[in-house]
Amino acid sequence: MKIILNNNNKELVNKVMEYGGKRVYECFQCGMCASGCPVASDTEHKIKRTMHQVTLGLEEQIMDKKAIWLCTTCFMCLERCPQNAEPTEVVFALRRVSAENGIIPEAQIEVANNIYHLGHAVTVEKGIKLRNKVNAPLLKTAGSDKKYIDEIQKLIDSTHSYSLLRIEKDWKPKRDDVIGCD
Amino acid sequence: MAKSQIEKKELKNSSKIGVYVCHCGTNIAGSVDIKEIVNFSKNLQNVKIVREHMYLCSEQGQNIIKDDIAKEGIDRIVAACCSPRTHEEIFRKTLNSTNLNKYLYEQVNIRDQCSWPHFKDKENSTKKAKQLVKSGIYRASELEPLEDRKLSVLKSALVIGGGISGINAALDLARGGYKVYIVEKNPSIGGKMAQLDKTFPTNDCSACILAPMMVEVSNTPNIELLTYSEIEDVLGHIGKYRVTVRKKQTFVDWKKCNGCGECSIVCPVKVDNEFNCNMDKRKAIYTQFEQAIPMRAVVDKDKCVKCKLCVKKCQLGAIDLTENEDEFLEFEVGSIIVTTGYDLFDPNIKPEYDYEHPNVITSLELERMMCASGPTKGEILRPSDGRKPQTLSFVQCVGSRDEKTNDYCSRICCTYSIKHARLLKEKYPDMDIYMHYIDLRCFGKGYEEYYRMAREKGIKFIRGRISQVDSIADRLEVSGDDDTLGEQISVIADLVVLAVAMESSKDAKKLANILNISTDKTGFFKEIHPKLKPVGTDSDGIFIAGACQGPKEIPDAISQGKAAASAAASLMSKGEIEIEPLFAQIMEDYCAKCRTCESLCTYKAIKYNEDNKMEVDIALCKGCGVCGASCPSGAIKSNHFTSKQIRMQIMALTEAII
Ligand SMILES: Cc1cc2nc3c(=O)[nH]c(=O)nc-3n(C[C@H](O)[C@H](O)[C@H](O)COP(=O)(O)OP(=O)(O)OC[C@H]3O[C@@H](n4cnc5c(N)ncnc54)[C@H](O)[C@@H]3O)c2cc1C
Ligand code: SF4
Ligand code: SF4
Repeated sequence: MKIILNNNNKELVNKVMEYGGKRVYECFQCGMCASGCPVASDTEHKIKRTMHQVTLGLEEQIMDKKAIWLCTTCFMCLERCPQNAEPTEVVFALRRVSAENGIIPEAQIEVANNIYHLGHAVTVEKGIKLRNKVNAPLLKTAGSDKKYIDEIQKLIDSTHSYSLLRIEKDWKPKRDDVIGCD
Repeated sequence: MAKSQIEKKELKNSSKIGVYVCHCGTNIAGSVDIKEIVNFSKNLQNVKIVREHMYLCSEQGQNIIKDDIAKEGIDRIVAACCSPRTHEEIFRKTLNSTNLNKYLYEQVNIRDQCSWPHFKDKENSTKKAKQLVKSGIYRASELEPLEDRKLSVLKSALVIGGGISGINAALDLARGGYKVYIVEKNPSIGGKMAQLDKTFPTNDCSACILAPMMVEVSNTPNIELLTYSEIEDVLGHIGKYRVTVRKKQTFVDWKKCNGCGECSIVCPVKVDNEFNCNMDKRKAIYTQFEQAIPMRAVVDKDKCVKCKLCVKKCQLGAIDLTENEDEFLEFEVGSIIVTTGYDLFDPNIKPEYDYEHPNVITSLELERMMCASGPTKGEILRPSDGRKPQTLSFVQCVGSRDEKTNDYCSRICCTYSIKHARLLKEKYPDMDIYMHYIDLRCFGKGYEEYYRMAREKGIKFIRGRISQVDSIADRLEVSGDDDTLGEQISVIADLVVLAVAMESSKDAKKLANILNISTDKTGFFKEIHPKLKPVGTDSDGIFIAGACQGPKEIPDAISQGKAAASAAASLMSKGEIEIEPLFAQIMEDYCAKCRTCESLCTYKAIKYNEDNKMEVDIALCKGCGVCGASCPSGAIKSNHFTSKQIRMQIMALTEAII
């Protein structure tokens, strides 16, 4: 479908810059970011295109596809970009803009709740049980002690992330994850 | 076998030829079998020595040749190597440093003619090389010693075209003590640069940096400035050209006029103002622009209604409207520099861009609008209604990189459009500016940084050539493609700016004919060698510089102007030059005075003189051989390309290679 460039959101680029994608204007569309991106070939996440869409203010196109959430944040593009346009930072900024608009994929909500309740993005319950069984010492992680988790919760409660991330008070982890065991 | 032995007897038997086969690294050796050429050459008549070398033009290679001349008595040299265009001079000098006459040298180009074009077919490439080397050897047997001639050179120059390139050429020569004539067709010098507002890559004001140079031109005693003038005729040759200049009638006595402009104020006739791209009016009596040099009025002969209001107004009595013949001036110069610049592509040729719409303008029109002294006093306004545009699209490559118009890249429009976009964005920060390009060619020093600053200012760069501009009500739809999005896009713009191509000037061809120099397929003047002789032409004393040679920005136009001045100065400084004796000679006893040659010579070098004899002007003759080939009596000998020499070559080329 033909895109009429006038019908764009001129504020998007300013917002992205405010939210951390300060150097998005430096991009000159060389494609180095996209060519080194580990997810580009298998997903809709096309970082060079995203950079261009931001400068053109094509917000709907960016947000529609949810592609920005597929970035692994490996920072490969940020390392390599010859203009130091910091594409990863632009992705972060776009996620912030998206979250503000209430658009966060379910998987991310789950991760947020994991952190809020367990102190980890991915759960390690099964691992803790296993370690107990063999009398291994307790893992010193953010989730290993209630007092750490309290602090994490205090932090999240004090910002508007609490509502943005749709934290549920009576939340149960959906998967019993397997970090560090099996 | 028997046949070729008979023919061989035709060869002069006395010469001792040295044959030198060069590998040129792998350039030649990669696809010509050098050993085979060496063995083959050894068996040819008159050949005394055959050697091969990795780089024959190296000092070591040249020393081998010198040694063979001194110790082995070699009296003819054949080098099988690269192009005589680049290397003949070097090897002739090698011979010159010995006792051997430098014209007893023959160069066979087995690189450009064998190894390069036939690099995939070593066998046939070698076969062809053998044939060519053989023809070189046969020709060498017939070579004759020749002496260079000396020619005196006048220490004065003509610069045609008073743009930034010509101004620089003229100033450099004048500073070096040479007398310079500048011939400029407009009333003032300055060229296109005088029409520009600010200039990339530094954004300094064009007039501010140009005007001081223009003033210096008018204040330099040994520059004679002939504006509102054109070249009528040029005769003669390197060192001494006889120039005729037509001075168009101005109807104003420039010795009296002080450029006050009172005449223009009273003149009732309004005429489209070319200097402002016809976007406003000037009068029938006018000065070309505010900083004009010379600051003198001229009357537009075709538009004047002879009301004589100006005549009455002028307190200095400078105006006389009686029509006279144009004035003709004649003078002589030692060399000529052509700096006639460029014209712009007419966008009407591409109707898809709807140039007829008032809000579709060219980049030079925008440039005039941006200029404080321009038709809108520096404000950007839509021509249709005088309103400030909100959205602006720049369309790149209009008439460039297009087989249907000009296939070349105009080189500078990317950078000047970026300049325009930046200057507009600085002045009107909320203007939306789009630039549609194929790829951005910002190649010069500081240009990449210049482009980056444009991105930082929020100018939107869209990769994809615009296919169409349509009017929708009072706005314009610019339709294109966005390569990154992979989608068709359009911009609804208030003003569309076409980055039009630089083209050769309309009268370049006419001037080329007068000067006997060439133009290339694009119509720009042709340099003799694109890398090694960028400002030389095929007429030795005539140089080209600036945008008349090809699209160019100001720094390059100035560099070339200075390069041409230096080339002209080194030609003139000694007051005489040596020229190759490769001209035609008339053998009077045979000449029947049929004058066939006279009518055929492109260079007008043969004339029937007062003594009723055919005479060759050796300074004009290029040794092309047309006369020699056409003379029914065989009375013309072309030095270094005699019939005998050429017959030998043909013989070698038509004999089967054994
Ligand atoms: C819109 C636009 C913007 C530009 N901006 C920039 C910029 O920002 N920076 C930059 O570096 N470059 C810029 N340029 C390029 C610049 O204009 C040229 O590089 C420069 O003018 C070339 O100088 P020149 O002396 O070779 O030719 P010209 O400027 O064309 O001068 C040639 C002169 O010769 C005269 N002439 C022509 N034919 C004859 C004849 N037969 N007899 C006598 N006189 C003759 C002409 O009247 C003219 O005075 C721009 C060009 C355009 C179109
Ligand atoms: S590598 Fe940098 S400059 Fe190149 S396209 Fe990606 S963000 Fe743009
Ligand atoms: S300089 Fe740019 S706009 Fe001009 S022809 Fe070349 S690529 Fe096209």
